[in-house]
Amino acid sequence: MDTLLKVNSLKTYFYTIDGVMPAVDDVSFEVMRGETLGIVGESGSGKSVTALSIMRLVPHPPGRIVGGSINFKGDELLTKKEYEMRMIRGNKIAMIFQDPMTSLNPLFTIGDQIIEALVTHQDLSRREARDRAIEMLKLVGIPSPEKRVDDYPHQMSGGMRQRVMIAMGLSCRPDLLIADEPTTALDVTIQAQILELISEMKQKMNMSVIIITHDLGVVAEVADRVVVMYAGRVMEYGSVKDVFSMPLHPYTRGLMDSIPKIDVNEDRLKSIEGTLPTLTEKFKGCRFKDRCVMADRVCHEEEPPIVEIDNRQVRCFKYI
Amino acid sequence: MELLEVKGLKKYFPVKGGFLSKTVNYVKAVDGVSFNVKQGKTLGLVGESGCGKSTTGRTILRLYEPTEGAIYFEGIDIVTLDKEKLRAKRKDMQIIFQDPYASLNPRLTAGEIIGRAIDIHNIARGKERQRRILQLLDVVGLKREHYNRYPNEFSGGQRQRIGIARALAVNPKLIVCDEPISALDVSIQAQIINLLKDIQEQFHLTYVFIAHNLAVVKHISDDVAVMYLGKIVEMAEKDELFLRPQHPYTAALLSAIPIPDPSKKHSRIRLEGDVPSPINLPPGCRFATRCPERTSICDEVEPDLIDIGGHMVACHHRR
Repeated sequence: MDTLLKVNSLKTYFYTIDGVMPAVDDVSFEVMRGETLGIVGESGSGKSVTALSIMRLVPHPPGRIVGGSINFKGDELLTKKEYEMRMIRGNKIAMIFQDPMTSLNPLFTIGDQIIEALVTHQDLSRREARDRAIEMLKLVGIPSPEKRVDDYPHQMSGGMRQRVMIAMGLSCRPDLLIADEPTTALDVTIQAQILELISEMKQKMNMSVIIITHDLGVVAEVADRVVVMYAGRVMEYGSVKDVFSMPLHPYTRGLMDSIPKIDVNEDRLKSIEGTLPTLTEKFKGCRFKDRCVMADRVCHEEEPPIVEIDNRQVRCFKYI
Repeated sequence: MELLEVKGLKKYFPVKGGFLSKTVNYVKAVDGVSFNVKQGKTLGLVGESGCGKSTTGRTILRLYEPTEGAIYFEGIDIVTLDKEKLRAKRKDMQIIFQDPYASLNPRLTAGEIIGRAIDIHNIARGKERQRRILQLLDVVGLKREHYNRYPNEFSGGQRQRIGIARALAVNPKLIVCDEPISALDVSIQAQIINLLKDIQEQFHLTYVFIAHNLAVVKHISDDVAVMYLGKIVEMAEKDELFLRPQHPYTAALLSAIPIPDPSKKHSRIRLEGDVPSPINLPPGCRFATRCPERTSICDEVEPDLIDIGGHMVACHHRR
């Protein structure tokens, strides 16, 4: 397997009136061809900003990519001109968002919206693009696609709209699909259908997927490797099998212990006490220290570097 | 002892349309729901969006006026109460909302938000009122200095703690928890669930716990009712329901949950199709359009919720 995307020491900071907020701080990971990478984290962990950085869609101001590199198929994305990025976005790298209602334009039919993407990026006539759009809708399991292609977004259910988003994302046969919380707004039975659809499409098109979620269950089901983020940092990074069977970082372990499991009876949940720290550039020590049960003096004074052990990476003094 | 008995509860919302905005149809959000909750116990109400679980929760407090049915709270049918008596009864029945951002007045401090509840029901005044607010802050895990802060200064988890303190302020007997943790981060969810369990024990509270997350419902409930399109399709003691789900919908719902353990690959029951509109319901079983076990009777006759031995289920094929 060769590397499709290599993110190296990515830093995306937000310059606000309250100071500089390091939303993504020295984040590195790779996505292989045909692989699914899960990025898990809670709100404020920097997982969505990481995705927006790859797409070069960080809102500016206040955000700015201040360091690192993003290498996609041997090309550096961070030095690309805006018009060059436009050739990549939606074409080579596609993104689907959490809320299919707000990411579809209510004034245009879904067909028009898929056709627009196709005509922009591929050398197709409108008629050819329309046929392709119908073909894509069929592929994502929308019944009678030749009729539904002329529907407006409000005529469809939430699950159907997310299928349309996926059809749109996949219409140009991208190498990489970034799915930011693709099932969070959906019901569990619909979520199961959508996750299955993404895996199936990945197989069929031999593409890579980055799935961003707060749901560890979703990652366990669909991802090959997982990046666990907390307050802008990668805390743990490894294969899903390793990380889930033996989480190394206290945060990863805490996160797993704090979710109620359907197949286990437990009287009391182990929770992670406290809340996310307010980040500034001057933050001292490990970012998880105030909530960590194992924190000692060194954790408050210095931040641990990320180290590699047994084929995975972890950022904790316990392993140094 | 049954604290709450709901019998044949219906809530229809009119759909207006046409000339002069006449009522052309009804959304049958809750369509004949009955259940009991014993003192000190928790009933979990689960289902997907649009199944009527939140409407049920709000209707039993008469935040929505029921279209039909009876709601016995400590033996008194609160549907028949007039405004004054209902208001007095509301002291015993509180609600915690899903969105802690939208359910707190941004112009009041945390202390005042809790204080308002105390004032409305005349629970305490002056020094005693102050003492009580501080005590409530302590009970829900907030600090004294939080008293004078405004909602925007709190995180989501802390706001939900304020919402819980407000509900507790009037010494309620019943609390309807309407998706109390869905808007919170994973690591915060466990804190709030633990808090809800602690105060239930401490104040002998009875809960109706509404959520779409089955694992959460299983964790906190004693009995669980599964709703689909305005009806309860299955209801049982929680271990019974989760170990031996009877209704095809419950089974599908359980199999759809992603399990955070990559070594456990479970077989999934695939549900085809979408949920029908609650305005135009099919004549037979409401789940028939998506059911893998559908036969001709399912399209014709609507199944009743029947006890099949410690387990209530509404399905023609489980008799």
